[in-house]
Amino acid sequence: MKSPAKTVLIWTLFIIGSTLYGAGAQEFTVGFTAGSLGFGGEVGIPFSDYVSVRLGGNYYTHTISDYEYESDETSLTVDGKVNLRSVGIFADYYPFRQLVRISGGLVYHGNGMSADIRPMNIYQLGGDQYTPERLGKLSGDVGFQQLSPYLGLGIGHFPRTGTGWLISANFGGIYHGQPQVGLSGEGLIEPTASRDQEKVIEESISGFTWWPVISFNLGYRFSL
Amino acid sequence: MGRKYIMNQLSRTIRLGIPAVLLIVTAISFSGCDFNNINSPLEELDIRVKNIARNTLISVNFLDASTGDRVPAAIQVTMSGQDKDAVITTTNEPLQTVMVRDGVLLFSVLDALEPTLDTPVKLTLVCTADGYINTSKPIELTSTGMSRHTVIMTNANNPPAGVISATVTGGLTDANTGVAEDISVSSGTEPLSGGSASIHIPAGTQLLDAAGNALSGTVETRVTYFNPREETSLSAFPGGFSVNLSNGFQGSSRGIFETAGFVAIDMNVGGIPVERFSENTTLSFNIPADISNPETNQQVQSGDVVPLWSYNEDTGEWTAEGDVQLSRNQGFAHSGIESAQFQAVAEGINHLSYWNIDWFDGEYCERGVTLNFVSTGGCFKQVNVELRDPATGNLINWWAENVVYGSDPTQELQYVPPGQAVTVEVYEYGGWFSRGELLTSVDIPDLCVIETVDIEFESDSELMPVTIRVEAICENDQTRVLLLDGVPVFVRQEGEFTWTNLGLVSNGELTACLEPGARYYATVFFDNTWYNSEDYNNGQPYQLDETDLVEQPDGTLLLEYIIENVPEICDEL
Repeated sequence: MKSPAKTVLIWTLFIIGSTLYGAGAQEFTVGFTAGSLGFGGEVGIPFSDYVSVRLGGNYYTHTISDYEYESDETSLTVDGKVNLRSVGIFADYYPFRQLVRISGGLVYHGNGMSADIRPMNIYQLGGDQYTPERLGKLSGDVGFQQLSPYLGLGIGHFPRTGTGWLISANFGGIYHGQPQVGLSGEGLIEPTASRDQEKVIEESISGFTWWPVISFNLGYRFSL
Repeated sequence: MGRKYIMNQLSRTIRLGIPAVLLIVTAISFSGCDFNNINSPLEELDIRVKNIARNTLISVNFLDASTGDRVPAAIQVTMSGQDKDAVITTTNEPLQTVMVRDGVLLFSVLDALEPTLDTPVKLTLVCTADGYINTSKPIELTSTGMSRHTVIMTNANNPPAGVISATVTGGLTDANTGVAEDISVSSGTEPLSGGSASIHIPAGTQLLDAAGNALSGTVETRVTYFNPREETSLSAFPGGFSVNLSNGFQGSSRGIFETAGFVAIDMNVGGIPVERFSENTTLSFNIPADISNPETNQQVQSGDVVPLWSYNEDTGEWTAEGDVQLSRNQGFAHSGIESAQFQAVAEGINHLSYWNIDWFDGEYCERGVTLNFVSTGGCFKQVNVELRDPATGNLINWWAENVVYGSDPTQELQYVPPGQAVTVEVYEYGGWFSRGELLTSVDIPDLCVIETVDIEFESDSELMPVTIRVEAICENDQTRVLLLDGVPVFVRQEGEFTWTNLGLVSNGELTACLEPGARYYATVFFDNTWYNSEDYNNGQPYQLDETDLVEQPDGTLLLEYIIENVPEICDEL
């Protein structure tokens, strides 16, 4: 069984290859992107005055360490990480032949979040001290459906307009369905990491079915 | 391409981008992305914490020797012995003296102690209760985990078969001059054997308390005789017949007693216990003639010599106090009893305790056979088990545990006599001293062989394995759950009087054998408190949910106990 990322890559190479093979002189764009999927790049190929195809990928990791959370009598330390990893293939349709495009695509969506939470209080029960070391840590991660459709609008270059710099932007969303939550624990707090608790969190974020996409692209159009 | 071109592109992007974003957000909202449903993920999360489980737990049942049920009186238990300072509650607080009110005591020892056969943890429980004869129970732990022990206590006002007790209030004593007249008190004749015991205190003897102070006042004396043949009588032998000696005997410091009879003597002056005498007193036994002398393998004869022993309740050890010689009791006459024909007189008795006349065997192997009780039905709650000498059919008394629980079906026999063959008899449970139908019997040729022997039996009970989940829940601003770990669950079926220890929950769960459709009361012991399932009325915060068996999707049965808002837990966690 092929992985989703591999599927997207194979189809993309197939489309690009067949396009370059079938066309004589061919224009294409190479660009740098930044946005809600992280930082990355994309390659675009126009098929006609109305249609082009883009292949893009994004990557970004953000970590926070020793973030202290205080609430009433509870003190926590949080280490967190946001991983943005995606590869996608998009078809753009320019209904007015310029600027505005409607985009659809298929994205390998490896985005996710993880966090380690450590209680910092010391509790006393009888003669026992429940120290942070004994309480341990609770780890959680959120993942998404990996092969997901994309729908959006874009503003950007007009297909087949010669070589040169261009700027574009995309606004849309990746439908990844209900997020999946994984919990694990070490130490005395380990029972918190149970399947029913995972369901509780999944239920509380069940409305988050779309990953919002806002990205900007700075690219250059080449002509072969 | 210049800067102006880029700026123009950017401007057009922004101008067209804003309506595009609005369009997309609207589209997404209509297509099912309900942002209002996105709550803080941690708001509804239960914070679940396990308690710190102890490495070693000791569960002790206190049973009435007459009824076999738990002792209804409050029992004061004082820790004594080599490792008494290591005794703690299950929540790690020092424990030296505790009042037991439910017939069950649970405690622990410091986690740092890891008992083994080479480095055992040794304790003695000194037990006193109003109306009951004081006793003590030596406990020797040779492994971590939970061990179960039973203390049989004799109600002086309702003694079991084979025991007779008499209390006499009479005679005066003075701190300076001692007792005014001779005091002689007899237990009376035990009707099943014709045996008896008596003490004689000569005039002028001063009665001393534990500190050595001479007492003045009216003397109350209680003499309780235990005949050496009845199971109920023998079960009350303090500490059991596998014994430790304080000063050694024939080169051994531990071994096995075979008794010819024992007596407990208690005296007090104005409520102050008498511990010692200033002069020697005399103790006399009348013993049945059909007692076998293990040294001659014949019934006792005139001239037989039997060691005399006294018991130290604080240490649980016996001390050799010399010998007594048996003589035919010519003057004995007791209606219908022909056997009680020998007398043993011990002089030089200078302190009070249990006294017995026992033969001693100092040969043993530390570790013997392991008995694994297996129900072919897969599930059993408890069975009665007896070990008998296959040659004589006599009950082997040094094995004090006569109930084996399904939650703890493996019994390793320790400190057993070498070359001892036994027949293991398994009976349907009928109570501590009574038994139901014989289920099976298995012969074992030598108890000193280190191997596991499966004792299989058929049980026609309708018991099913049930998973029991125990949680303590605190609900304030946020739900907190204490998932109990290493905590024992006791159940008592409706109509029963004695609690059965089902074993320890692990990560909040325990699988035990229960009867579907039956009603059980349950209790768990945590933080030095019993949390009962009984339906307490107003003002009782400790209430467990009703005991409903719930069938799970996988076909297993679940019994869920939830302890709600227990202040001792919720205020501290």
